Parts: sequence; C-alpha cells; structure tokens
Amino acid sequence: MSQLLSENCKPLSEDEVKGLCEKAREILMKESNVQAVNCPVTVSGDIHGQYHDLLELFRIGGTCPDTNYLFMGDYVDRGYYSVETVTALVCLKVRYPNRVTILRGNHESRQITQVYGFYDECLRKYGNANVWKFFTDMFDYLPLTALVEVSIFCLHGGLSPSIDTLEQIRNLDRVQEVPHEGPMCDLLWSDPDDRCGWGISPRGAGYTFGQDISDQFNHTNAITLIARAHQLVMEGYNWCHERNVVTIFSAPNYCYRCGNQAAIMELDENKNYTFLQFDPAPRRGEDHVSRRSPDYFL
Amino acid sequence: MKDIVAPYALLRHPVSLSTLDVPAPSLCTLSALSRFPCVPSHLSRSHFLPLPFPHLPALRNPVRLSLCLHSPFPHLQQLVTSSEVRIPPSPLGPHPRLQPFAMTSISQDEDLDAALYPIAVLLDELKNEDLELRLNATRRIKTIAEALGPERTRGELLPFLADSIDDEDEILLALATEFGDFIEEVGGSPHAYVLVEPLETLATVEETLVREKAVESLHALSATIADLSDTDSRTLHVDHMFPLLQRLASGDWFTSRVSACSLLPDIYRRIPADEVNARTEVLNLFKSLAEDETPMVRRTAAVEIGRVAQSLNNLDPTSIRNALVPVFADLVEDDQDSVRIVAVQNAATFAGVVMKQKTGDGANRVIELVLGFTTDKSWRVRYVAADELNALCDALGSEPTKKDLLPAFVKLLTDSEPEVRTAAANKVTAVAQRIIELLPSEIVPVVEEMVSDASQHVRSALASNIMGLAPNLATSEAVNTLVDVVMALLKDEVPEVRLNVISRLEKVSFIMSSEKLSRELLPAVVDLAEDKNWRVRLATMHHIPLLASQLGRDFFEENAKLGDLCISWLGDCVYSVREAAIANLKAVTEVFGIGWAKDHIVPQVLGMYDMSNNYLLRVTSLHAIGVLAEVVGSETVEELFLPIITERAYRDPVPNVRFCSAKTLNLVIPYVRQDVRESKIRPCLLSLVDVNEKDKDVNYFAQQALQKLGTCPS
Repeated sequence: MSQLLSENCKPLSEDEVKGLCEKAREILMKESNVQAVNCPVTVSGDIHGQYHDLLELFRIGGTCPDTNYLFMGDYVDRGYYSVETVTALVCLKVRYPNRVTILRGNHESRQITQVYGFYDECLRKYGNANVWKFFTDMFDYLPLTALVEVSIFCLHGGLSPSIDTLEQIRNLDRVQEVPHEGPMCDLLWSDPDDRCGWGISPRGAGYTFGQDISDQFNHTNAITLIARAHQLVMEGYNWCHERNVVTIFSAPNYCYRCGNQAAIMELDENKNYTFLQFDPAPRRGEDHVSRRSPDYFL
Repeated sequence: MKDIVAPYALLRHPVSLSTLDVPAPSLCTLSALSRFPCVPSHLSRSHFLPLPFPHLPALRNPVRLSLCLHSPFPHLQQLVTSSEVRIPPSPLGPHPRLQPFAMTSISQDEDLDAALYPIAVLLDELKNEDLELRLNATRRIKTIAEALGPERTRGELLPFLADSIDDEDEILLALATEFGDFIEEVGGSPHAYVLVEPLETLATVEETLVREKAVESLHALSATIADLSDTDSRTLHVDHMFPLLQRLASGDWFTSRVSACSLLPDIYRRIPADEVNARTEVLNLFKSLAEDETPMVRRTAAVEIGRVAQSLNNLDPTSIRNALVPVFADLVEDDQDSVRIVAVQNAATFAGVVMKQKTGDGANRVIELVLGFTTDKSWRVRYVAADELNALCDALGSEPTKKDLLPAFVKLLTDSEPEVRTAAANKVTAVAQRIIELLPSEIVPVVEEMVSDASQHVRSALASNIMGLAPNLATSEAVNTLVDVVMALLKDEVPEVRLNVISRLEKVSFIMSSEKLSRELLPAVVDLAEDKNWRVRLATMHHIPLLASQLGRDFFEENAKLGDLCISWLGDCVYSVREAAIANLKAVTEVFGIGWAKDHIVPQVLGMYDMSNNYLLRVTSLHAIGVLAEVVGSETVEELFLPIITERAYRDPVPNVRFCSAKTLNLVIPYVRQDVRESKIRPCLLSLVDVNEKDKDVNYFAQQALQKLGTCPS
C-alpha cells in the first residue's frame, strides 16, 4: 500500500482489484445507511480522480491511520487518475475500516461514470471494462450518509423532500444503482439554496432546499451541522443557511482549470472544527514556466 | 478449458466452412478472408460465448485449433512447431473467390501450412477493422517472420506490410519500431538492405513521430551493419543508403527532406573513403538542404551541422572551412528565428570542431557569428544564447571567452527582456569561474545593478547563483559589494528570492563572519518561517540544520527566536510541516549535542503533549519522541520520554493516540534497558491488547510492539 500511495503509483492488477472490491463489499455491507463515526475525524469532499491532489490532502491533513478520515463521495470522474484515487481510498478502507469512512457520491454510479471518464479510464488502463464493473458493483454498498458523534450529519448532496428523519434514511434499501428520483437519489444530488422551501434542481436530479428546510431537519434530528460536498466552492469550503450547512470541496483547481482552493475540515475530539485550505500539488516541470512564445510553424 | 472452447461460436456465423477450409491456406489467402463481405471483421475476436460444436466434424483436433486462434503468444509459438493442428482439405476444392489473392510461391506441404494457421490469423488481424487488434498484430510481426523464415519474410511478409503503409499513424509507428531490429528476421546482414525500402516510405509520412522513428530505425540498421561486416556495409551504404538519401533529399514534400537531413551525417561517415564522388554528392546535398525553402528542413540542417562537421573532421578536414562555415553562416543569419535558435543550440559542437582545426580565418569567422547571437533581434535567440553560454565558452577556448564573450555576457545580463536576463543570471557562477581575474571589474558592478531588477525571476535566479561568486573574489572591496548584494536580496519582497539566498548559504562561510549580515539573516529567516505558503515554511526548515552549523550554538542561544521557531513548527497546521519539524529537531540535536537538546527541545516536546487538546498534536509529540529517541541518549528516553507514554498517552481517550503510543514504544525499545522494558513498557502494551481495548488498530500496533519487545536485543 505504501507503493500505492506514492507519486508514481502503478494501478493494481485486475485480479487484485477484484479481491479488493470483494473485501470492501464485506466491510461496507455491515455499515449503516447513516454510518456512525466518532470524533476526531477529518472530513473531506469531492476528489474527482485528482490523485496527486489526494496525496497533497494527506500531506496537509496527515496520513492514515494516524489521522481519521471521512470522505463524502465523488472519488472518480473528471480527473485523469480515477483508478488510482478510488483504488487508494478503498485500500485504506479495507486496511483501516475503523479509521476511514467512505460515503457514496452521485459519481459512484454506473451511469454517471460512463459519461464522465471513469469507464473510459478503466478501459484505457486495463483494456477491458472488468475493473470498472468490480468498482461500480462495490459502489452499491457504500453508505449514503454518516453521523459524527450524533450531531454532525455528513453526506454528499443534500436533503430530500421524502425524508424528515434519520430513521427514514436508515430504512432505505441502498444496495442498488443510484436511482433517477426518490430519497436515495436526492441525498446524493440535492444542493442548498438561498431561496426558502424546496426548488427544482438545475441538475435534473435532486432538489434545492432552503434554510427553513435545513433548520427544520436539524431541529427534528437534534443535529448541529450538515456537512456536504457536491458543489465547487472557490475557497474550498463555504457556510450557508446561517451555519446550518457547510459545503466542503477537496479537489483544488478542479478539472485542472477552475483555479479554486480545496479544503478539509478537521474535527478534533471536542468537536471543534478547523478548516485547512490547500492548493494543487506542484507537478513536475511546471515550476520553470515563465514565458514561451508558441512555435507556430512546427 | 473454458477459454479454449469459447471461439467456436464464431463458426456459427454464416461464414461457410468451405471458406475456412482452404486446402493450402497461404498467408495471403487467409488474410484475404477479411476482405470478403461474408466474413465479419471481428472474425478473430474472442467475444463469443461457448457453444456446442456440431458444425465442424472434419476438424480432427478442434481444441488445439481454437487454442491457436486465441491463445496468447507463447502458445502460438508452440503450435507453430507442432504439426498436430490440421485443416483438412475441403471436398469442394478451393473457394474460387480466393484465387486472385493467392500468392505464387505456396508451399504444398499441408502440415506446414496448417501449422501456419495461427500466423495467418495474426496476419488477418493486421487487416482487422479494430485498431487495437491491428496494433497488437503489428507488434508481433517478428514472430510471424520467425515462423515464416527469412525467405518468405522477404518475399511475402514485407510486400504484404508495404500494403498497409497508408494505415493509422499508430500502426506505422509500431511498424517503424519493429523494423529497427529486424535484420535477423530477413536473413542477416547480406539481406538487410531489403528493409531500406519500407523504412523509406515510413520516413516520408506526415506524422513526425513516425518519421523520427523510421529515421531512428534506419540509423540502427546502418550502425548494426557497419559493425557486422565491411562488405555488407559498403553494399548497404553505397548501393542503397546513398540513393535513398538522394531520393529523400529531392522529395516533393518537406517531410522526406527533413528525414534526409537527419540521416545524412551517419551515411556520410559510413560511405567508404574511396567513393569520393558519392561523398562529394552527399555534402552537396547537405548544402542544398540547408538552403531549403521550408524552415523545417533548414532547422533540421541546423540540428545536424555539428555532427556533419564532426564526420568531416575525421575524414576530410579541409572542406569544413570551405564548405561548412558558409553553410553555418547562412543558418545563423536565417530570417526565421526558429532556425537561428536551433543553429545557436548546435553552435557549440560546430564551433568546437572548427576551433580545433586552428585555421585562423575560419575560427575568426565562427567567433564573429557566435557574437552575433547575443545581439540578435529576436529575444528567443538571445535567450538560447545565454543558455548555451557555458558550452560556447568551452568550445571557443579561454582567450576568445575573455576578449569577446565576456562583453557579450554583460550585454545579456542587462538585456531588455527579463527572460534573457534570467537565463544569463543563471550562468553567472559558471562564467565567473572562467574569468576569475576580471570578476571584480566586469561582473560585480552589473550584479549590483541587478538586485533592483524589476522582474522577480531575474532576482530569484541571481539569488541562486550569486553565492558562487564569493570563493572567486579576492579583493575585500568586491567582497563587501557582494555582501551588500546578498543583504539586499535577503530583504526582497518575494519569498522565493530570500529562500534561494538562504538555501545557498553553505558556500559562503565567509559571509557568516560578517556581523552585519548575520544580523540581517535572522529577520529574513523568521519571516520565511512564518510565510503563509506551507511549502516555503517547509523549504526554510530544510536549511535550518545548515544555518545551525554555520552560525554556531552561541548564536542560537543568543537569539532564542530561532530555537522557538523550530518548536513552533511542531504545532503547524500542516502535517508535512510538523513531520519535517521533527526531522529538523533531530538534525539540530545532532549539530548541537544532547545537552542542548535537553534544555531546548525535550521540555518543549513534552509540554506540547500536555497542553494540546487536539489529538493530532499529541500524535506529533509522540512521533517526535520516537524520532528523537535515536539521538538524545537512553537516559533522557527513560527518564523524560517514557513516563509520558506509560503514564498517560496509552490511556488517551482517542484511539489514534493510543496506537501511536504503541508505535512510539516500538521505536524506543532499543534505547531502553531490559529491566525498564519489562517494568514499564510491557505492562503498558499488554493493556493495549487485552479485551478491554476494543479498537483493532490499537491491538494491532501494540501486538507489533510486543513482538519487537520479544526479539530486540538489549
């Protein structure tokens, strides 16, 4: 695994991935839809296949197992190293099931990964779609949400009009492809909004929810904070709904062009939070660029 | 067996058996199958489901056949040498539509041809619609050739491959690569020339990668044959390579002329001396290529001119001055700056050859041309000139360096473009070593000016290189100027500039003796140590041990700030900085000794554990204990470090702190006496593995430490 978590990691072989996914499935199967997590823990948002930035994240936040981590989904797609990223995270989960929690994001799905890059990357790196199949089959078992010390609710997207209590989430049958609608879909797709009440999401899946909704939900379930990912925020984290909701995004310079910072949220043993912001990992060859005029006629 | 049965399904397809049962299936007939509309293009792909097999009673050994259809490489080779697989003659006779594709020299040996069936499938894949399959087959042409033998490779395979020349670039690239090492396969060095023709075609295609690979393969071919046999080399180079060069050089499209340029020096060198006409002709070809209408060709000529000069130097020294210097002059004065750039990059090689000849006028002309670079109207040319300055100094020798290049260098240092100044500033140290006695008068004043350069890149480059001047400065006056320069750079507004100064301090122990400077140094370091970019903090820390050894223990004790910094990094919010801080403390301890560490480090590390209400800092403190145990001596470990673990850390409410305690105990075991191990460490670890400890990770790391406890010699 130390080899896997190095700069020039070589992806696992097809058989190794198969074994890894089977192991991961056994572990994930036992977890709840609302997985209970203890403090201290470091909460992280979208990674999106930016493997080098995941390594940077560990450089900032500390390595596993010394630091506990909670990842809120979207490990694959968009970036060029989805295979490495998801392999590394699943390896960590398998090796340290008590130290690492990985939730499901809207990109941990068969349909989305076929459009946004993970499928193509598997095909390119392994020559066939088996690895993609192993991973996406395993994704069905990922927990949908997590609850840190009974007071901080963590999930990828947001709330759902069909869900009022955490108990309702616990009763969902999560082992399936992410549906197009319904509570499970909403948890992975919704976004908070400035407008009150429920709104139609521009994404075409999930809803937007206003401050009244998050107020109500937090009150009903005795929660102090909803931590979620799913949206690009330039500072890496962003409060909204009068600190009822925080968005955490952990892919710096998203898609290698957005110029955003990334962030992680460190929760210490007393539930005090600190946000750590970070920039993309420097890549080899980039630091000497000053000015070059293009070679037009080459 | 599952894989083996799989491909039979393909036979369910409307392909008639009679089509497959060609009586004497030669390569081309089988490969031709794929051209028939009735044969699906995916004939040989392995995507079929296992199915019963009622259709082929005539196949005596179907299992083996299917194996050879789809097995990976080693199986294929096995089958080629076995004669078990047979395709029986069809009762219907050969398929009439296959006839036009049949080759003339078909062996009638049925066994042999049947054995070639897998090879034929590979050949079939060479024509497949799927790029991946074609590519794989292309990469295996060596095996096909081995199976066929040299004669049929030359007679059938090469013409067959020539057919696919207008294919995808990726295939061509694979082909060009394979041909680079294909001499054995075509029958050894006497027959090597047959490869020239296919490579020639590849050397003219539009895609640069393919062309370059083809040229590389031609180079390899030429070099191998030249080593193997003189007669074959003569045949190859005079009868084949030389005409090839002529054809390429007169090609309509620039691509072939570019390839001609790249091939020229080696071919020239390998044409035997008695072929005077051929040699003269090659040289003339080079002259005309250097005057080509397209800049791409002229650029390649500029790349090769150094090697052409080297080849000439060995064989025909006089013609360098007469023939090549004018060509070089033309390239240097080309109206395209991209050509001039390449000429500058290769000028050192060329100038080196000319200067060695000691012909006065040739050398003077070259020096004149080289000087021209530094005043070129394009900044890119001047940039490359600054970059190449070292090599040019070496090539021209010491006298012209002092007389001609030094003024040119000063001009580059004060160029109007920051890129050029940066490149020149990077060469300060290297150039200085060549002109030591002129340093104070020529370079130092310019450097003094550059401190206030508007571009941070220039100042940063200067900061990295300026220290190199110090050892070469003799007069105290110049040293003082240099100290002023360094001080100014230490106050620069850009962290990178300051960092570059600090990172080169080891070269300037003399500067440390200057009190003025060490006073300036401290605020600069402190400032960097608190920079908001964590990589700057990290980089600064890497230089602390060096500073410690240069400044000495007294300085550290007088200026408590430095020691405080080392400790404050331990509490940094970035993990990597905390970890580096631990390594730094260890390194500084090695410099200043245990006594110092006991006063200035140990209490602080312990204090950090006490005061922290964040588990990450307690973990850092434990890491520090594990690392420092190596250097502080066993007394400190037992008296100061151990209690904090065995009394508190192992009972921490956070499991991470508990297993880090176990990890740290594991590390300190070697530095603790046997009786203390048993009385303190063992009970602690045992409580971490008993039933009350529910956390598996704590159990695991405690178990590991217990093992170490059992095995570690005292």
